[in-house]
Amino acid sequence: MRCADARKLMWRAQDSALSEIDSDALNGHLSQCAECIAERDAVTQTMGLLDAWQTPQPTRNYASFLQRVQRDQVRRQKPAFRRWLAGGLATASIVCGIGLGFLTAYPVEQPVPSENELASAIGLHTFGDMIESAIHYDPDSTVGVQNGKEIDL
Amino acid sequence: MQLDNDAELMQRVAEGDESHFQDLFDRHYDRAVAIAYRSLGDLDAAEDIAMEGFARIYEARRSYAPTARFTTFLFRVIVNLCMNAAKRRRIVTFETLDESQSAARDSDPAATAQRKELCDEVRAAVLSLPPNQRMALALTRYEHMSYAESAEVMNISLKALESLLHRAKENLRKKLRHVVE
Repeated sequence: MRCADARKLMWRAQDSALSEIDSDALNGHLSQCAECIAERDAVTQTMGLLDAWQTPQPTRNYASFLQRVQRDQVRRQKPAFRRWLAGGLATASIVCGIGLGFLTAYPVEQPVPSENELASAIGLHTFGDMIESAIHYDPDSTVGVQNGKEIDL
Repeated sequence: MQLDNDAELMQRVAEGDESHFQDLFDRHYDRAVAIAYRSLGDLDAAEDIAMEGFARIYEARRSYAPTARFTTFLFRVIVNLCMNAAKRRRIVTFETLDESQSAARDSDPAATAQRKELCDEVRAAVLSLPPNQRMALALTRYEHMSYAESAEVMNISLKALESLLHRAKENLRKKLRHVVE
């Protein structure tokens, strides 16, 4: 056995995880290799050091576990309500957004005044009068008065 | 399939007799905490993980099917939670050994200080290993599980576990060389 192979087996030997064949082979090698014996001692020391770190005693028990389970159940119920609420708000904001989009994309058309409305706005009583005034254009006669104000044409 | 005693208890819990869950908890809680503690280095976080592991099994009790030993099932949940927590935390907290714990064991202040220093060195060395190497070491070295069982709990092949352990021990050898010499 080569020293490199023996050193691999040394680590496994520390966990008592060597087969009988491997264990015999390792022992055979160690009986004739002083360097590997020194290495084996160092490995044993290193692994022995690990026991210096002890696990502290746990502080919680089954009663704390039951409390935690109950807390979890309550916590799971709350988010379900919150999820519904958040979903509703999101839907409402999307609908509002789409509505506003429609309003701004299609501006409301202003109504076009009828001929008679136009005629009365410039101080003529009928559409016929307006045509007549256009034929006999006279700036003085086309100045009308509406609501006490003069209208310039 | 032959059920172990734990699996039988869990089977009864699955059938609605939930009082048996306390037996399972009392039997295995300390060991679950120990595994998490070796992985995270923080008792409070370790107890959180152990509680979370038991809570998950309890919540899924109705669908429990005994396909492996109960402890394998439980520790696999704990290991997965620890690996996820280790990835999230990245930096493991290095709390020092409680003074009162060590003082109670030894009335010689010098020996107590020496033991505390050694404990801190070992702890720092183990916690500086990558999470999967640390977990392999925790299961085999500290929890005395067989290689086959550890590999099953970690959900990796036996070869992969052996490789992790070899690298973990080589790393520890380097990190603790100054203590050994």
